[in-house]
Amino acid sequence: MSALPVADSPIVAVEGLVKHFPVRGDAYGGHAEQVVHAVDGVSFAIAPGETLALVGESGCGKSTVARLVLRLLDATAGTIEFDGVDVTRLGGKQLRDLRRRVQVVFQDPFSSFDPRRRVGDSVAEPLVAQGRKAEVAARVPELLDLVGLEPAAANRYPHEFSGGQRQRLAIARALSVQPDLVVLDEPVSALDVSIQAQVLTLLADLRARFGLAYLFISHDLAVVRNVADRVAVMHLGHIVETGPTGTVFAEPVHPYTRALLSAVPDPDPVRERTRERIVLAGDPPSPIDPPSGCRFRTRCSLAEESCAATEPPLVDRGNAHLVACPLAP
Amino acid sequence: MADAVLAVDELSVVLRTRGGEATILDAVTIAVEAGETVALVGESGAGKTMLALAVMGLLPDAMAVTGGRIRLLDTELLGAPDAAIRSLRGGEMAMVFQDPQSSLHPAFRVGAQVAEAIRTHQPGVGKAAAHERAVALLTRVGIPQADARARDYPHQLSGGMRQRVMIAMAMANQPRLLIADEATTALDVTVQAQVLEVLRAAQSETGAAMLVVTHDLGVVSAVADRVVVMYAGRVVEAGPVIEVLTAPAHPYTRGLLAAVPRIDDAAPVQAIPGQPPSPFARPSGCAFRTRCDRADDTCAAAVPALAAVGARSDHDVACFHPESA
Repeated sequence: MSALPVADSPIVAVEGLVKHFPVRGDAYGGHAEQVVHAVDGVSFAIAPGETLALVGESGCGKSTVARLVLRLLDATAGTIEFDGVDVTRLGGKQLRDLRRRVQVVFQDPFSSFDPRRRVGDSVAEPLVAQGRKAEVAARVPELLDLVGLEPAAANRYPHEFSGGQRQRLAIARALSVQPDLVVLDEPVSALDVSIQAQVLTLLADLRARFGLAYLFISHDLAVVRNVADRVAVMHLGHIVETGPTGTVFAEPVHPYTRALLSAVPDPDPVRERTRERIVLAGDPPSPIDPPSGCRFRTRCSLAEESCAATEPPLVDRGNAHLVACPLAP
Repeated sequence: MADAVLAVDELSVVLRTRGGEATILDAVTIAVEAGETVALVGESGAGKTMLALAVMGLLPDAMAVTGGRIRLLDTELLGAPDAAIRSLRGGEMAMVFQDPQSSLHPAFRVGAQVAEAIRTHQPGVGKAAAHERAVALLTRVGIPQADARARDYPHQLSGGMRQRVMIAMAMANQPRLLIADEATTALDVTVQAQVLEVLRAAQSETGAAMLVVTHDLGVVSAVADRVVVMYAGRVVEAGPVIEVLTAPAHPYTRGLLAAVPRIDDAAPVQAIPGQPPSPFARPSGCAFRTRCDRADDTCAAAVPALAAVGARSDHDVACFHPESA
């Protein structure tokens, strides 16, 4: 798969990333070894200060990509380069150095904090892990202030905070070691709309202030439109379309991207009632036994025989807009 | 509204705990007519699910109704004997919940569960006939090869297919009132589009009244005729969906709309400052005033009553300083 056009010196560059999970054949210990093709040849790069969103539905592999980039999972194949250095197989001290530069915020603000620890200790944990205990006393109040919480909050326990406040704490924790890249895995999906807007605003402010790069994982297209410079649409382990967010949303080309965007109901009732809808038939195919060739072909209105033969590559349609469909106009 | 299928009138519900009493619903009035879809919208803790559960007679034990009336067709539900409510539930009124995984019995085939819903309310229907009708219902909600799928257990179906089974079960006895509580929230967006289509079709075929509980303004805009906006246990605005979502009168409704990201607009979302108050510590007067840029002393002194917006008789707002139309 061709490398994607990006800035000259990306902070992170992923090339041909593959992750297969073996699964046991059946619930009774059958021997048929099967493989979930979670991520199958994904390439992308993120420039310093840039936000790339990976968007797609359940099971498309977007969270697996996040875990691979974080080195919480080991890739089956492919490479992850950080600042030009291959980190795919790093271990020991070098891996710990990488951990300082790549941090994460997860979806669930209720399970990402130890309920028995004061939140100040949790926020300081990356610093302690990096052997920078001396900085803790000065940094924690600073970090809490940064995310809009009172310094006194450090002495309280997670259950005393609302979901939105806990997500602020998770962001403070991620920023404690001054990372270059923050992986945000559905960071606002569990929040109510008015609180979601607060956290999105905070993320935008912090990014502008510290020049952070974000890998933003989300199933919510409207949120992605709001935060991302570039977007990559994933379907069953592949990127099927990628480009500047404005271009992909205004002129989606891949039939899957078009269906996905058309499925989002418009909060404006006048437009919602007059717009054209593409309703896909059936369920997405299983990642255990994906269709040959193009994996979207079983639900695609454009599909013809040739789609079953080979997997369509991402082709540049100009303006850094890449589409993996030779039939789309 | 004499011909409303559901009329909830000044309903108040409290939560009783050892720490004290908290108001969950405060004199909430809504009505849903036959063939009409009303969306109940608001954030976590606004009381929208509790209202739905109160109608179904399914309030948790710690909650108590302290006032008001709930009328379904000609029956007053509050104070009615349990047996009467039970015979209405799943019959004249049915509900689809958010999580189909935990609403279906894991050890029974889905066809049998739909057939059971039929036979519970229509004991005269034989086993074979009930099964046949269950398959017909599953076909109608868009399950392919319903004959074969009826023999599946819930875990063999996808989330979208399970939600279709729930809708088939809810429609089994031609309910006059269908309540959908965040019925598409757990689904992927392409599947949500399919399930919303199924709900719409089910309603237009049966002419049922539909109450949709959701936090998603996109869903409201897609399915509802009228919308009721709730905040901290009270109705703050109600009216035709096009009116309320394009010319919101309440500062909270306006704030909610400005906070929603749009797929066709990269402009930064506008957050509402602060967070919803705990039901144990609601501000005096208007509960939204602590987050509102229009609030003044009046707002703290009294609870604003729902009143018509301008000359419109069908658009109400509870605010001392509403956005004028």
